[in-house]
Amino acid sequence: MPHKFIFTGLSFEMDDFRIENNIRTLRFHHQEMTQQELADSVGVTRQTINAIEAAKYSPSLELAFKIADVFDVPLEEVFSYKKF
Amino acid sequence: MSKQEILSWTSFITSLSVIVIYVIFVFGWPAFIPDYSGNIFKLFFNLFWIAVGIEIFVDAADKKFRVSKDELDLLIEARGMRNGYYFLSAAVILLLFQMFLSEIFTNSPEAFFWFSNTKHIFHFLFIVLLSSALIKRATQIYFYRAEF
Repeated sequence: MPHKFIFTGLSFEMDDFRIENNIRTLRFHHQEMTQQELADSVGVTRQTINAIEAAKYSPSLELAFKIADVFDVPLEEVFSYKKF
Repeated sequence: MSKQEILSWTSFITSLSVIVIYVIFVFGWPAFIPDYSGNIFKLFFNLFWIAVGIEIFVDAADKKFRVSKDELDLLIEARGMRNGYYFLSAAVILLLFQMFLSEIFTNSPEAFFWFSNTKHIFHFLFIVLLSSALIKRATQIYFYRAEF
């Protein structure tokens, strides 16, 4: 069955696939880092971190790598592309 | 609330105030409604200056916001710009179409071809420009409040 593409601005996503993240868990394991602290580390606003964490917004590749760098883990430990 | 969201609200209010004040001055108050033009003018005049004051304050307190604009702000701004541009394009096409028709049907009553008068074209374009700015800001506010 052909997949339907939904244009979300910075990324394309298929309707039965979704980018998930472990940012909330990783923040907890890093001395309960706040969203603001993470936002300051990667140079974005707290609102952007909140939108990424809630999977409402898919970050650019550069921002995704920066977030992974803050937690000192590979990118695939922060973000995953999953079928739901 | 991020800096860009505050600026979207202030810009929305200033654009709306200018449109309302301009329309009241140019077209006057409709005869079938009780005349509240003085009150409405006062309200939007005050709103305009309050919004300008907030905008200046936000710009001055720039250090409070650690990041003034990031990639999500740019994405939202682009979507707002797109909607504003669509509205502006549609309005200009409507104007050109009207002008084209008024050239063909020169004997028709002027009331039908409202844009045959240069003064009217100016008012129309001015209101359309402000409305497209309003649509841009309204789109941004929508995405800040509802989507992200």
